[in-house]
Amino acid sequence: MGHGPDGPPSGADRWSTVWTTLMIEIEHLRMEYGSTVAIDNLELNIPEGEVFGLIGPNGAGKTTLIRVLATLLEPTYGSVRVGGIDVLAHPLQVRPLIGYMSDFFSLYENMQAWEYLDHFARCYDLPAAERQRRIDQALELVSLEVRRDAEVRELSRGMRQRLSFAKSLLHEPRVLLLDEPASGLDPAGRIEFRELVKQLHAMGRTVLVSSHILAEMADFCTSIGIMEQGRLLRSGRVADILAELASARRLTIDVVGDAAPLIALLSGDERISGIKQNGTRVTCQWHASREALVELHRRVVAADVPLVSLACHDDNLEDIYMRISGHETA
Amino acid sequence: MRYDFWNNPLVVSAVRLRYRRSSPGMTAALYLTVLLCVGAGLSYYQDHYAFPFPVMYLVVILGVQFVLSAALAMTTVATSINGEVIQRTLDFQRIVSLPPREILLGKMLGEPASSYLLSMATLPLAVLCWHWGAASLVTIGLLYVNLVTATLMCAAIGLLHPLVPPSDKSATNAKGSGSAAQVLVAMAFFFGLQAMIVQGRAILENSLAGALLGAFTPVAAMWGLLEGSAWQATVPFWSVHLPSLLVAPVLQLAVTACIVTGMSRKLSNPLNPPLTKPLVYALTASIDLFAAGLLYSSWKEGLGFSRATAAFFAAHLVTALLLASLVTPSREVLMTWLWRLRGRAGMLRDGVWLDRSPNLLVLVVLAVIGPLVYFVGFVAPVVAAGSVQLDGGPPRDIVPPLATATVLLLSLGTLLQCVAALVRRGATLAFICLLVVLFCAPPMAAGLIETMQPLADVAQRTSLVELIVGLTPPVHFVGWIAAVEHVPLLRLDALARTLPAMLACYAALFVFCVFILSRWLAERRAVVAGKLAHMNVSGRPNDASKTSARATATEPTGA
Repeated sequence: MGHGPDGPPSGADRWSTVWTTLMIEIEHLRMEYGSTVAIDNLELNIPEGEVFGLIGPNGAGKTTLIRVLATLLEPTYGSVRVGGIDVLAHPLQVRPLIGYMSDFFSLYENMQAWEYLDHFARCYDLPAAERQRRIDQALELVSLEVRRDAEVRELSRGMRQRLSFAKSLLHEPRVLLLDEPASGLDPAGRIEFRELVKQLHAMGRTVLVSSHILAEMADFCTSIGIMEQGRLLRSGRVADILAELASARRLTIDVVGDAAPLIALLSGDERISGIKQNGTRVTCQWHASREALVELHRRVVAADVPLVSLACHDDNLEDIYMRISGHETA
Repeated sequence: MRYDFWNNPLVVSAVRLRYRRSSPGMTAALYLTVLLCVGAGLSYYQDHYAFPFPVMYLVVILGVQFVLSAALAMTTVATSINGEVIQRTLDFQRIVSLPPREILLGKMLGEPASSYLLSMATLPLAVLCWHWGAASLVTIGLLYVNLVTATLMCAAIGLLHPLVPPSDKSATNAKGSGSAAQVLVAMAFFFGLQAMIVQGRAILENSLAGALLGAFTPVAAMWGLLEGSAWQATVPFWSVHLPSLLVAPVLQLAVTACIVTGMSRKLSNPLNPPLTKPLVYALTASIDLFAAGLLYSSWKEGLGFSRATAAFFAAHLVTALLLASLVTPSREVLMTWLWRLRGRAGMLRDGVWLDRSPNLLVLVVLAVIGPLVYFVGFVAPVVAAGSVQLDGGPPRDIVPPLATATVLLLSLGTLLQCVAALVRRGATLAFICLLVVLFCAPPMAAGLIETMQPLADVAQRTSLVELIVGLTPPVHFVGWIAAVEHVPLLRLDALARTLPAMLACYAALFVFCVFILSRWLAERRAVVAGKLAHMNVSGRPNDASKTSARATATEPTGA
């Protein structure tokens, strides 16, 4: 496994450990389909045990990147390593290390749920004694144990997706590549899925997950990469990116009646910019700490402004993504 | 590699699904009942039509089983692979730990389970026929071995299928022409069966056609069984008559192995050419040697030296072109070579031995293999037999077909590479269309001159028509092989007059294709170099894989 001198790091220590093993290493990756450049000179390193979220619009190159890592696509140029093994030179050695869930989760329709898992358990060469236990475990993990004997064609979209996820976990891969895994799930399914990924993270698995649903990604990803038109615009820890790119907090202040005194007060404060009025609501950008808001609040009240509420919003992943990508679509 | 067929997941799943609702025993019992009824019918009519009942019954059982097993194997495997590709389940199958070869073997053994089951169901009847004295136990055993190998071969043919979904943008040019091959095989099977029913004996009596049928199918052995002994059907190699019963299974397994090798390479990576270059050389040499052995026997039986020579080079040309097409990289594959693989080895080694480089040097090697095998496998035995003297230099009979095959192989092979490089999609179809134009346009033009615009001067018209028709390579081979004197355009002296013009035309085509290909490669190389510079990658194109940082890091890093 190639851990550091003191064994595998966990949690926050992972970031402070210098000797963290890289599970995914990508250098100068380029993928062309004819004249279309799907991935352009992408460089990315993902340490072991990371839950890495890949964010980007349709056509940004997320699926292509995941398929390259899954050894399903051969890149035009570049070096890709999974678990230290060159994907291009030794795809057969890389395959047992990865669990892949495609956004196009087609299954064998006429198999029963357990048969489907049994098929892949055999394909991954799991010993007969171990096979049954793993299948039961996987079905339980995705809450499909009651549908064990149902044919795949009888399962709902969400159930099929969960079955597909169970299949990718069967052989206990070191790296999980999940392409839009939550797109077909209902709210309860999404929460379950989120918990499952957190569980895998706690088990030290490396997960690369792509999604459009940014709010969810912020919740379970330890790091993210923002892709646009085949390029990786930014990548790193979620907290770091938020801290680095959240340039200002947004204030929303509601008053009763005339907002002019409030605007006059805010205009005189150099920590405030971008004041906009919409009826009795005033919005602006706040360029200071949360703690400093207490003092602003006192001043507003002291100025006899008929204040109803003062709310502060931090930039979330969605805001940052929209700002970085500049609303571009590939 | 493990050969644990019984536990192969594909076999397990296929059998599990196929017999979940229906019992295999019931199917076998029904089939056995039908065959027993057929037996009763034959027994009833044996006196009326005066045939030996046990032999006829055995031939009918095996004949039905061969057709049924072959058709079932090919269709079930083809349907299964097609379904996996269309529904994209093959992607998941591709990335499991199971090696591609085992996946394909699993398909070949699991999907046609009914073929094997029904074959086994006929065994009691075959034993009954042996008891009645239809044939010896060894003969029946070998016929069943042949049945299994023929079924495997047909299942392997069913595997020939593009492995990339039609809508997938990637590797579009890497799709094989598998479906087309299956259609061709099915058509050959259909028309071949009709021809066998109508003119079986006549086809088998032709030494070459009979030898080919005996080498790859059980037809000759079964016909022999009907005529007295299955062992009388032979395949003559250098006048040694090998029993078809022994040769056919070996050759069928060889065909199966080639297909499985090619498809496992495609399954591993759809951009891989189906065969490696060394394997193509070995196959060309083997097929040429096979042709030399057959033609030597035909020569012994009266086929002229020049006709046999022309037939050999025609066979070599077709074989070499077909096999060269399997290592000719498409545009997309060629681009991967330009980006990553160019410079991985010396130019000569890269071109001759390694995958994905342009096919020019492969064509040269194939052009050398043909004459080499010809002299070793055909001329040397003929000279050893004391029938032809080669002391006075190469005989007149050898040079024209040898030169034609060499020039055509180089020119058409380079044309294929040009088309594959320049055409984004449908390169195979484009090449076939070009071939049709090259081979059909001259005779059509000659026909037009002859019928629509007759020249006043008959001699001038005749020589013009002769020249134009002579520009078609198949006309020369047909003329040399058929050796007919009553068709003026196919007479040897007429062909000799037009041969230099035809060779000059195709040599010019070769030079033109090499020029176009070199320019295209140079342009692409410059484009790739520009893009690499833009990516800040210096050095050879494949340096990135070598300079991969193995260092560790504390957090995900990206551009």
